[in-house]
Amino acid sequence: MASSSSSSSTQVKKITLKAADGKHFEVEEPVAMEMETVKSFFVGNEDAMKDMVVPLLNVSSEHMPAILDFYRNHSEFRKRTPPPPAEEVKAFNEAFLENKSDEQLMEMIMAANFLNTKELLNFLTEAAANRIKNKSVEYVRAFFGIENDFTPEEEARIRAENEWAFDGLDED
Amino acid sequence: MTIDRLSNLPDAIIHEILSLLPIREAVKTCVLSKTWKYHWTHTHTLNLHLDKNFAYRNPEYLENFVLHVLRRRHPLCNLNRILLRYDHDYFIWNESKQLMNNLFDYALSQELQEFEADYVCDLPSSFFKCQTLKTLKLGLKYSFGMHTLLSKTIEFASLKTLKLDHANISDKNIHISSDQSLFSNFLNLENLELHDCCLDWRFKTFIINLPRLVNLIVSCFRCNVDIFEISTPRLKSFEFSDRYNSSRPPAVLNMDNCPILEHVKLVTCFNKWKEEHLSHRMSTAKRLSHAKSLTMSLEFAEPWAIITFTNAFDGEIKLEEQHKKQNYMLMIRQLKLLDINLLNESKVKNILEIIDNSEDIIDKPEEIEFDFERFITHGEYHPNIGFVYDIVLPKLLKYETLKALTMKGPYSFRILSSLSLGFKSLTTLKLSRASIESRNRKKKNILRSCDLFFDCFNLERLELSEFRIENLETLNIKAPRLLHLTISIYHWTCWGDYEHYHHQRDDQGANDRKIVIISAPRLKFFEFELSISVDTMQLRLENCSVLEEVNIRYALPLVVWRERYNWNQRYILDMMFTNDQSGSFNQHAPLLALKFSKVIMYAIIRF
Repeated sequence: MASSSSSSSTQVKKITLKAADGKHFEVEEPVAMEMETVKSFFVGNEDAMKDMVVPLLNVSSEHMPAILDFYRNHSEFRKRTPPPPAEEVKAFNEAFLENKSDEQLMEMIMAANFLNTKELLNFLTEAAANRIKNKSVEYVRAFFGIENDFTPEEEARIRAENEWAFDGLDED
Repeated sequence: MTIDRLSNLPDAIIHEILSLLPIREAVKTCVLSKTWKYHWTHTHTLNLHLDKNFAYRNPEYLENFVLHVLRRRHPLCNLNRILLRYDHDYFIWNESKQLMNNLFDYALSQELQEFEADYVCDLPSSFFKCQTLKTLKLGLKYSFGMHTLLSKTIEFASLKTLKLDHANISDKNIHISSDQSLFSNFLNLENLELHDCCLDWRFKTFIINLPRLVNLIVSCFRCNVDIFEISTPRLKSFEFSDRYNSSRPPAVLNMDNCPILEHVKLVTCFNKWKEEHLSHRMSTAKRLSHAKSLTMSLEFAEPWAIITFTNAFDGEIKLEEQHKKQNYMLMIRQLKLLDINLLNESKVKNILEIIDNSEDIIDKPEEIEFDFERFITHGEYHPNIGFVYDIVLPKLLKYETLKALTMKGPYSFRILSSLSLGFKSLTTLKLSRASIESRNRKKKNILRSCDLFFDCFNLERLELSEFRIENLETLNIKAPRLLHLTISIYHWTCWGDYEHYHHQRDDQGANDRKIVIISAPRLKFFEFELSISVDTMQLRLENCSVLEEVNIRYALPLVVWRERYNWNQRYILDMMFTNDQSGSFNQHAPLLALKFSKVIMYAIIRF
């Protein structure tokens, strides 16, 4: 089913990616190669035709457009001479994270991890760290979707053991 | 149904996120759940953020805290990074030598790759044994000498990134020889940043000779150096800023051995404007012209000015002058556009200097555009605006190669009738809101006529919009090659207007007083717009035998008309009537006289 699209591409080679829910995405080759997972799909498979569909099992189609946008922009930032001003990169990154729920952020981290792109993964983990910085235990639990399986006594004991870390800390 | 995100997120990523948190926050996650109890012990970073929780504590408290962390860390998980950040100036960090010793004794066994500290005064000797260190970023107390880093016995063989803030780079132990290369013992250095650093004043030459260096940033460098000798064959990006007072010439920058430079940014600050500074930096820029992109910025404190040149890699040059405080700018954009705003006398002089000195860089511009529109601030013209035109225009005369000149601006820009423009190659001239005047106001009987642009004999296109004519009776435009002519006159005064207005003179002489004579044998398109309330004027097209299209518009607002004149004095161009009331016609008549008659006031309404 992928071959239908490949015949027309004479200028920029395109690679078809298949998201977890079966949706197809046509991506320019250099952008697709930003993803180590896609790259290794072809490297390990010399016979693989470039018009093969690359299945991305852990990436939902919901996040694909944003992720591809990130690759496109950041690879352009890297290539530019003189390098883009820090504000421009920052503005793009902020816009990227805007309106993304904690849950969406988590899903994208999973996707970036699966796609094996360090740049995106580092960026997203840093965003996650910023969201839980200086937050209460309850907030962090909710963020990661953790169920507290300690009994109150157990929790009190853990706190006591690590008193040196909790001492003087504001619980907010 | 909620997704159990915990089960999705791999441990490695959880450890990555926790490594980005200050260590105290990471430790805190041990109470989240049973699985999270030990996650923090796998963090690869010790991010010691000395915030309010550590303030007002004694050094032992911090020592104990760090010892707790180090003891509880997972033994198989290497500590790769140590970050020390502090929030408080009064922090007792540097007194805690014991802590630093503990930290680096531990780190030595951990393949430490990165050490970053906002503020550090002294480093234990164990630190200098870290052969695995790749990144070192130090903010230093200003008085502290980095002699230990300079000393030849230290070799961070793996060091790739070195960033020093406020370091005093000196070496008390060694004799400073003139050819000493800095940081030469860090052979694998790829990124070097020196911010607000101070170099030992005994150094007269700054030599960097690093075979693998790719990025070099030197900002606000304080030194007594005459020559910067940068010999780094792999250097791609170079940013450099320094400051000088007028007593000392800027240092020479020698980068001949940097063949693959891509991006260069030079910022030089001076306390006083001096022409030599500019030309000095210009010559530096020339020698760096092999870089793909070159930005050079000169900042002058007195008078306040910033001049930036950018040489993009297709050879375009941008000259940009920005006055931050008042938000005015001067630009020559891509050599094609010169846009000047807010100028006072000294500033204009600066610009003129730039024009003078930029000759080497701006190699024979063919197109220049001045935009003085932004001279109008808060609805008022800048008081010094008039002289700008008087000065800038003659200055441009040196561009003999100029083919197109555009000037836009408020009415006070004057062209003197006596001014010779002499753009021999000029083919396009567009003036907006300019005025032309004769200075002989006093002499009554002189025939006030002006041969406009008589010396631009290659002119093919002339556009004068919102043109004002002052103190002149006859305007001659003789242009042998002119093809396209647009004139819109917004204002025309000449001697005798006052009497004429008040005494209602209607003699023949007064009728002929305002005359435009156009002599252009090749003229094809002619547009004439009158937006003033002249009583009489003549337009003579002499020797315009190939005219194809003529548009004449009389664009006087009716409001003005009503206020100023009574109905008996309303005139309309005879010509409009004779030419099918369209104002557009083919004609071969050498002379067109525009007379204002009382007859056709109805025609006016149509405009």
